[in-house]
Amino acid sequence: MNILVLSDIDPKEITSILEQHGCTITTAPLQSPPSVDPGSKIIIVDSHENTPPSSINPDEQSVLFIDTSYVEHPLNCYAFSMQWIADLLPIALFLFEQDEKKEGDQEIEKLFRDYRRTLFTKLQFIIDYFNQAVNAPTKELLELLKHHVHKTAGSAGTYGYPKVSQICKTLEGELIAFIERFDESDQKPYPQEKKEEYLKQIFAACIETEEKSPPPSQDAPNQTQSNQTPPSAEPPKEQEGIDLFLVDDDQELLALIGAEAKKRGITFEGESSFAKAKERITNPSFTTKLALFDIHSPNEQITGFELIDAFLQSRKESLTTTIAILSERAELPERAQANNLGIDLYFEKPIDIGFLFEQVQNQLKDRGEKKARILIVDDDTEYSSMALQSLEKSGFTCTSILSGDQLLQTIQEFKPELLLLDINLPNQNGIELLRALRTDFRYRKIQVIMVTASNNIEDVKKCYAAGAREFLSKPIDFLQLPSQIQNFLRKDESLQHAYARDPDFGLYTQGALEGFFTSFLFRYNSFCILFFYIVKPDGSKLQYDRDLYGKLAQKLKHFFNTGDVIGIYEDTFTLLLLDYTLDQALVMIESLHEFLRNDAETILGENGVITVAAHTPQDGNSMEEIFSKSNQLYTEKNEKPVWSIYSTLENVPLQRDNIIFSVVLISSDSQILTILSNAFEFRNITVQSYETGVEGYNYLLKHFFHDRNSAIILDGDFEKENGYVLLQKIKTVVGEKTPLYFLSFLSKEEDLTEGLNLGATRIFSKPIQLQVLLDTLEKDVRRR
Amino acid sequence: MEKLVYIEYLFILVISLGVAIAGGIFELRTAFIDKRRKRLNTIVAKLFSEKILEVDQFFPKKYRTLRTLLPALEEIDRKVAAPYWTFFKETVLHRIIEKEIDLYLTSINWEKTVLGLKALELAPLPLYQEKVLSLLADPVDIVRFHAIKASIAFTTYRSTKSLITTMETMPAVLQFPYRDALSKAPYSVHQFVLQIYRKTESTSEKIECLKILGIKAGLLSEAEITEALQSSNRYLCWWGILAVSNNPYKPCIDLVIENLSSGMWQLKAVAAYTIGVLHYAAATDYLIPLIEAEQFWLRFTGATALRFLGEHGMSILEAAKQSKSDLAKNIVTYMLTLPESEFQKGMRSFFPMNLDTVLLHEEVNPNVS
Repeated sequence: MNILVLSDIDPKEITSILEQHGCTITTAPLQSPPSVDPGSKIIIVDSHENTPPSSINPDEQSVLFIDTSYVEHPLNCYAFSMQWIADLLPIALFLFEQDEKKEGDQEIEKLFRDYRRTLFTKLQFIIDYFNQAVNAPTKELLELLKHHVHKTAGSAGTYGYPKVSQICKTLEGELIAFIERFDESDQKPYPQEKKEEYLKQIFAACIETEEKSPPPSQDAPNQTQSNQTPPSAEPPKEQEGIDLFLVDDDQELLALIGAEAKKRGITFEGESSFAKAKERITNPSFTTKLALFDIHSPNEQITGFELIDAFLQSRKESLTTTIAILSERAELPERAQANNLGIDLYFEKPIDIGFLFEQVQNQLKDRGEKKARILIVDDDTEYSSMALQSLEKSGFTCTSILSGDQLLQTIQEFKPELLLLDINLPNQNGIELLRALRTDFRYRKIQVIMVTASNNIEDVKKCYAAGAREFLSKPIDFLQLPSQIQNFLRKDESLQHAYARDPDFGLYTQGALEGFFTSFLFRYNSFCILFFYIVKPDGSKLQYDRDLYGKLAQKLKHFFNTGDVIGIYEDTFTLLLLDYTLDQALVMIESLHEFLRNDAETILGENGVITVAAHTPQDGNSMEEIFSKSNQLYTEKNEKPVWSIYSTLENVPLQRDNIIFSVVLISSDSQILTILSNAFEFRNITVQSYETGVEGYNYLLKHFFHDRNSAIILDGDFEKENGYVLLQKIKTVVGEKTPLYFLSFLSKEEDLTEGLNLGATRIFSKPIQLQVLLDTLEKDVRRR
Repeated sequence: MEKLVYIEYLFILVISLGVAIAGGIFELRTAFIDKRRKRLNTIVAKLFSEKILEVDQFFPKKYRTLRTLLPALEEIDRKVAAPYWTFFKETVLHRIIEKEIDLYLTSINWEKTVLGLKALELAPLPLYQEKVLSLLADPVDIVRFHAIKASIAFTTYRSTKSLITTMETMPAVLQFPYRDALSKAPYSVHQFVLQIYRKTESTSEKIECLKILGIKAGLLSEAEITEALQSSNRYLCWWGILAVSNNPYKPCIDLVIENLSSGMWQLKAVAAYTIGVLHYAAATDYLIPLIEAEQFWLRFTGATALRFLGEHGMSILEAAKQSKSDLAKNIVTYMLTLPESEFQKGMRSFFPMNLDTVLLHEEVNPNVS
């Protein structure tokens, strides 16, 4: 074996051991190494700067790194201290040979090398502590030795050295017994013979395992895997992109997160330059499951938000990445901007790495689990078989049918969550089919993506108006299809009402309106839901006509506020008048009657008549009643013009300086309750105070939608309840704009960040400053 | 003449060369230090992320000093907040530089003492508490400042008590850092201050505690504030009234209103301030005489409080425009012409939060109007 020894001093100690093993040795000074022969083994001795010369590449050559005083491996190579040469150099040489012998799959070879190196490092600790235990034992030292033996036993098992693991376990047992017997005053040393015996056994087991293991080959990598390594040490999978990508100018943070990611088995890449990162992420071939961007960098010309924007622009149609941001500030405008960009996660510096990876793993897990059932309806068998293959490969459960005749029957049997529906089916129109499907209340939750070969914009508009959520035009990139669908399913939950609109008239689709009813509407203090049909002069109901409805919508747009929602629900014009009280709505309806009557002929043509009638139930003020009534209305097919008004107006809060609001206080601390109640009372603000979280939450659940102009102050320090859990629950009840203040006696950054992440508007750490809290609250309410 | 010019040019050339060489050396040195710093930070980060506790084996000898290790720990401390990190930094300090801390704290070089204190701010080792507390009254400002920070980091009753006792003995102008650090301290330190307030029999210590507790809500009980308000000591009473502005218990407000007709204008001023910030409209009529008072602060707080009290207060201010007293006319005109945005900033930024400042101001400007 050719060995090159680089050293500034005379390496006699090493060369004598090497000569015993029959090696050919060449020596050279450390700072001026000769041109390295790729076949040579290299040993570096006594490196002052802890770094081998740059001409050596430890990934290609075997490098042994020796230093006088401490162990550290700046490169991925074998490394140990000078004092262990006699013990470790023989085994290091043996492992060298193994490194050289293994020629096959590069990845597997590298994996083996890594295992050996890690195990080798761990063995050094054992030898070191053994030596000390033999010479001058203390109880602390023996504990450390036991700890390292325990750790080595675990790792050896993991790395495919079961025999070494077994010996270490035996040794650990013996050490435990020895420690129990150990007397501090006596300080009886650990027997030298036993030490040597165990070390010999361990080295022999190492060598035995190495010799037994068949050289990895490209043909049978899995076989090698099953013989040698447990499941945790699987060879790297086929390249599917990385799990986590981080852009941050702070290189140390990158290293820190990189190390943690490696430990948790998450593939990670980092980029410190924003410009380079931009270049990289805008490249279509770049894929990552989670991208984490730092927002502020003093040295960069672009901000993290611009970077995210560029990323989103480049992946408009196929975004499968969860985007998270990392920021040093927890200011509201920044969070608002993040929300606008659709960012999924928000982390704040200083970052809790455990929390970060918990979130990352949750995201990756969620992504893996959300695999929907998809039904493909297309007469083109070639297309449907390719789509089936592509989607099934990605884990979706799919089936396909050729025509719309079997559609309802297949839906009942297969129960799909998503429908890929072709527009041009034999003897049928996909849009008509979709419309028919939407009329059935049972199927309204099925999401529909329309597929067509035509690029006719009218078709696209009709699809959206009929209730489709997405539109795909052929030819379809089957490689991207699974990710497109995955992305669509993910975004659909939160943003369905944002894109399910008629592109011309801004009419919301049925799905969007459902979204409003279930998730959005209850946040308003008072609102009216209006449904009405247009009746022809002959008394029959007008069928859906996009142009006509569009004209009407445009008329109504001038009439209503921009915040009001106009949409089509089962061919019925639906209006959601937000922020209208009952009286206001009645006045509005009267004037609308006039408005429409005057314009009836221009909208409907000659002799066109629009009749209106109002129905105002006296009761129906609870949320359950409203939903049950609106559901009734959906299911009943009223052929008469119907105006239904539901109002939730109950209490008019007191007025002060044009600010109308009331406060809900939840705290178990009676002093805080008294102080805050008095302070608000003096300011003429109504207060509801509750001493337990359950009471407060129940009140909010029942009454909160009556009091949109409310603020909530939650003191998180309960004896029997978890403040964070309560905060999370309350956030689901109240609206986005409602100030929700969280009081906590914890003042650490991570606690405050957690509160903000759970949805609190502001966090006040106790003891609070009353005047600051009151002023901030007033400002927040004014701003709203 | 030519020779002189030549020498002058030569001189300039030499100077320029000298500066360039010095600059180069400085750049190289900076780069070297920077590289070394980065390397050390990487080691710390790596050990932390791999959860290796035998840290003393991994640090090269040259890094095993407080001076080099502390910046690396401080830098990562700004980025990482995790329970394990607290444990880790304590382990590093405990295993590697504990002896050095001991020497540094007792060093005659204040720079070294500050380094030792900074290390304890980062990871307070209880062993050194007494040494740190002995530095609280150090004559060097920066040592005292870091000793205060380190004492707060201990969060013990002993350290809190020492802080208050030392603050009490210091001259008024040097008390601010102590009070500031205590008022920004975590909740547990406030609880210790409260305990001291309840236990102590020394009035001056009570006042110091009240200064810290009174500006926060929910710490003092109704009985405690009432006791302070009924005290014969005017300082205690003054701070008690201020405490009501943050802890508005109704019986205490009645006592504050009583102080509006007190013989001392300072107590009247702070009572008016309290009524104003609490928007306690029931006391409006008691404020009317104040706008004609001779003392500036009394007039000012009276008028501001009236403006705080909404429409009724504003009507009183409008009516006072016709007052015979010029002082009242001036302050009312000022208050009514003050833009809303300015007013919203609140008079808290205007009103002196310390009785000493009020007295001092009045002594310096006795006829201020």
